[in-house]
Amino acid sequence: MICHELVIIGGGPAGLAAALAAWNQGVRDILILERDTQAGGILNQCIHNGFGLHRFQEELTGPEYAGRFLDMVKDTDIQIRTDTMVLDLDGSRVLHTVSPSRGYEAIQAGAVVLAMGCRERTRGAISIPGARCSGIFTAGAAQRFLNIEGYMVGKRVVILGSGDIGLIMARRMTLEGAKVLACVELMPYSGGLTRNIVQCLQDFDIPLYLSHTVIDIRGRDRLEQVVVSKVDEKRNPIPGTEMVFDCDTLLLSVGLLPENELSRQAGVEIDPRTNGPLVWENRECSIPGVFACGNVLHVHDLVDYVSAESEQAGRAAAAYLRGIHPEGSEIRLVNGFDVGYTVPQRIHRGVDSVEIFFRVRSVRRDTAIRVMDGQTQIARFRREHMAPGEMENIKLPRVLLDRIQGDTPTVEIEAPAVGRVPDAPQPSTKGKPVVAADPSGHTPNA
Amino acid sequence: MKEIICITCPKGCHLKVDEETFAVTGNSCPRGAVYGANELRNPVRVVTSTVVVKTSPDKGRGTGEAGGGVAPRRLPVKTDRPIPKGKMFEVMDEIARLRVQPPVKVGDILIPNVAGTDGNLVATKSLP
Repeated sequence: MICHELVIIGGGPAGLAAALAAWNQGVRDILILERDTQAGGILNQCIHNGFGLHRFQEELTGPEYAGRFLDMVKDTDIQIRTDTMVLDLDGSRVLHTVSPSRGYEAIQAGAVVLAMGCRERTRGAISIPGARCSGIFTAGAAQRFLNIEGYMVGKRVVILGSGDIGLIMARRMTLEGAKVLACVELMPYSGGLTRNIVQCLQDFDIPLYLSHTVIDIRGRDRLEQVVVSKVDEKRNPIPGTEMVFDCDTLLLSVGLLPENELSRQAGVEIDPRTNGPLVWENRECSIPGVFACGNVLHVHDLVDYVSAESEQAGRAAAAYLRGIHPEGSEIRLVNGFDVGYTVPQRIHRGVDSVEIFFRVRSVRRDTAIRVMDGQTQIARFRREHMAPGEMENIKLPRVLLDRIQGDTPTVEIEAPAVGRVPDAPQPSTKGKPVVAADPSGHTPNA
Repeated sequence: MKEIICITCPKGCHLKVDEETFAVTGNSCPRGAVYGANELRNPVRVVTSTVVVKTSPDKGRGTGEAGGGVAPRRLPVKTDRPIPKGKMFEVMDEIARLRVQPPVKVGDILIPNVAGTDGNLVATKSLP
């Protein structure tokens, strides 16, 4: 069997950054497997700017951001094998791959980094009723058609979901001459960054309908009409509020799912909240020597954070290959009030410092994030504004981590005090004051 | 008073800008004040798009060992600085007429002073 020290599955921003970090730690036999014909991942089709503000202190486009990493890889002996699909990964880190030039190959890896990214939720995932006509695309598929292949997918467009890709495509389709009639969002707030609402919708007078959804799709061969209705607090359509749009295209920007088929095949423990692997602070999964980073782990909104996280995974993989393993008993982070998930989920006691990434479940102003060890407050971080569309992070230095006595500290949002109903019960809240939910803005696990 | 949302950072402050004096309130940092005033005086945006690549039919694309795939059809481009918002569609018209022949290097100027703005249209990807 062919052996490589480090095999990285996925040549997008996560895989490239992990490879470079491992290289810089002295690993010399690194293989990146990429199923597309070029490395760079989704950045290749994200031709808009706004990438790299944290990383490079400039606003780059997606191809430019990817290009910087590809240039760095060129100066190393890291191998990128494109057109290569990983069919299977097992718990002993054997990969089964197939490509047109090499056929089938089995590869034994010393360590594996999972960097497969995520994919879009489709019409099937959200069960929109109506005709099965053509003209319905996920926003990312339409983006690839337009920016890579050079095809316009339609002329009169409705967008369901206000995720960033949908917003970016509203602007892109408009600039290319299409008429974007509406952006329709089920939730009472947008799932995308505020700056994208402004520069992609408001700049072009595209209306955003919050608390609305598509209830019917009409058309014989090609899409002809979509019916949009207002929804109540329980997100049920309100009869009598229907609007009919004459359009030939419906773009779906309704969420992203980490692509973890290989992780599951390998037997990696998956966190149902992130749909990604459960990881330690060094991004190691439940199987030793297998690491995960980027959107396969949890969906990020900024590629800069993907790069940083992936470097962490790459460094940890390099340490693993040198036989260095973090020690210390397990601290398991519990999600408290309004915290949807945390990454990492587990921390080795005694590590230097840990950055914790998470998303809140509802829009909040003037509040704080707390880390609680039972009744004891370990840390408190003030926040002027938080939203589910924006990933939060807090940093716990060693001095604070060492104060945690119990094994299950809680990360929670400070609850506003008055007139609230109790949140859904969570195992972690036992013996603590009952926390409260905002009945209007509360989002369940999505 | 005009109400706008600041797009300088993800926070999205709700700014109020005086139409005559361009005084800004509601900002929580100095960058918001600059953005608010500029947004009323002369709003600017970076335009990004793609241009058609002239290809020879026998040329494969990318680094694929398989030599598979097809030659790239589109080259991503951008204006190298923000241009007046009102000029965006004029810039798009010039982009639509452009054809490029590889090789192209990232940063190469494809159209200087595109649509009479001070910005140049530059490549955002290298094509061999």
